[in-house]
Amino acid sequence: MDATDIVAAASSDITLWTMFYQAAFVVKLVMLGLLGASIWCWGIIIDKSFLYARTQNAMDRFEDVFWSGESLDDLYATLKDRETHDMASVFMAAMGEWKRSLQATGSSFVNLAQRIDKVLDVTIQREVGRLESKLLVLATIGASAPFIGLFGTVWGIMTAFRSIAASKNTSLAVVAPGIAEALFATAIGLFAAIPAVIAYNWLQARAAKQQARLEGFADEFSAILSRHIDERIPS
Amino acid sequence: MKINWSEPGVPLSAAIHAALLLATLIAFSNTPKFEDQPESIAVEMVTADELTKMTKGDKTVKEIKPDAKIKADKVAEEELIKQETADAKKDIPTPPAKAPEPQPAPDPKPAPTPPPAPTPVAPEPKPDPAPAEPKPDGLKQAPPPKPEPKPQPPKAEVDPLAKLIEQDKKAQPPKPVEAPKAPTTNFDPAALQKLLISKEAPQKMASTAAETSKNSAAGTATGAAAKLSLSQIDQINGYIYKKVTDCWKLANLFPDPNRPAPQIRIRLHEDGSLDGQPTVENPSSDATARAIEESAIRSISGCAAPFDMLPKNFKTFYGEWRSVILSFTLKDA
Repeated sequence: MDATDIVAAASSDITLWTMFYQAAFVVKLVMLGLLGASIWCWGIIIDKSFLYARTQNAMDRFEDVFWSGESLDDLYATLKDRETHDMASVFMAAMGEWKRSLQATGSSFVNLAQRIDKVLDVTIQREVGRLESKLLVLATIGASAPFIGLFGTVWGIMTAFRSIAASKNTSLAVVAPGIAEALFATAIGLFAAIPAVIAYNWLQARAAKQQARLEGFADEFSAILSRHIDERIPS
Repeated sequence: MKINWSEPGVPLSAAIHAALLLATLIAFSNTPKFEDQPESIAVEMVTADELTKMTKGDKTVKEIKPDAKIKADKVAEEELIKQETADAKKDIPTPPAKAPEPQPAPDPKPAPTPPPAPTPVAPEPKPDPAPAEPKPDGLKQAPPPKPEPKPQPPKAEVDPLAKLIEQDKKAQPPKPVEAPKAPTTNFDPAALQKLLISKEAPQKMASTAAETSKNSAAGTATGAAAKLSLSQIDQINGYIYKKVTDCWKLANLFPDPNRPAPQIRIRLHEDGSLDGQPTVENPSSDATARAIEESAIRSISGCAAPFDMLPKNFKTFYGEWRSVILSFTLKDA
């Protein structure tokens, strides 16, 4: 940026647009990147909020049905044709293993409880992975956005000081626009980082709660199935 | 782009960001300006009196001596007000502080003196014919012979003097030849040429003042600390007072000579003209007294106004007579 440009900028009004438009190329890149990060970050926050709410509802409804005394075979039959998530998919995975073992001949009951536990574990891992996916993006944005913004600021101030040196004029009117642009980068960085950090902690806690609920259900279901297995094994 | 309604996050967030950006664009469009505050400049108050009393400055002076005087190399023959000159941009040679006086040999000096001697002697015969003329106007013609013998003795006196002169002239001729030789010893052609070449005023003159002083005090370059003596103040007041009383023609209008005298302050420009209307220092509520005051003011501003008769050398002390209080009694009027 030329010194005359800075003086011209000083005379004109400093709007958000002029602050962006007159910034150095690197600072522009930083600003755009941070804006994109903010959009992505809020997209994840919205998605996850909806997802956790839906998961919560689905779990409540499934537990109501599960503990209503309905036959597990009937429940399995109804859910078989549907796409299942979270608790239902855990139930389906375990029931699937159970059914396959019953249909098979021979002494498949011996290690059935172990196999069911394995299947439950894997399913829980997959479901929790689905719930927690992209949360790391929030963590990354929360941690790095301030630094990226600071980089833009430092670069902008460097440019401003070089302009001062070139124009040999230290009046505040010459310095102010450059510094305002530079600080704008940090502002965007913080704008992206603060919600990201807060949302990451909040969503992480919700995901952990739901994971604990899934594991609790899996343990109970595993206990029920092992009781059925014990009944069937001729002693 | 098709929106996946189960995961509306990114488009929704983009929309919210766009809206937010628009809002901030509008909010930032009129940046509140700081109220214009003129930059404050530290000011040191200097009264007019202090300004006129300030002494000529010298940057090299480390401490200010209480009795510091203007730097002066020699005593001034006459007092003059120095004009401040702009910084010199050319190197102009300084003339010597003292013009080299030609030192003629002591001998030629007596030589010029004798020639005037005959002239005073010569007039003496002239008065004698003069009285001779009025006497013929009188009736008697006998007296004329009397004065005639008188001129004769002076003629006799002239002769010895003339002889002496002639003798001197004969003796002197070789001496005037020596005289022109004497100045050549002091003559420096290089310095003379330097002076001839430069047409500008010299950069530095030997500064003069009432008394010599090697070091100058710190202060302004133009100021010269000098105070009027009491007699000089009286002189100035006298000038002004006389001019005013000459104009004030209300002598016999007021019956009571014991009224408090109106005191009128007049402010003057440097050229002696009035700076604003004169003001009454002790305004009175009495109608008659006010009439006297007003007539005094009118006489000052209308008649006596430009006090330009002040001697020029008082201009240096302008601070002293910038504002003068005149006190009138009715006797003055």
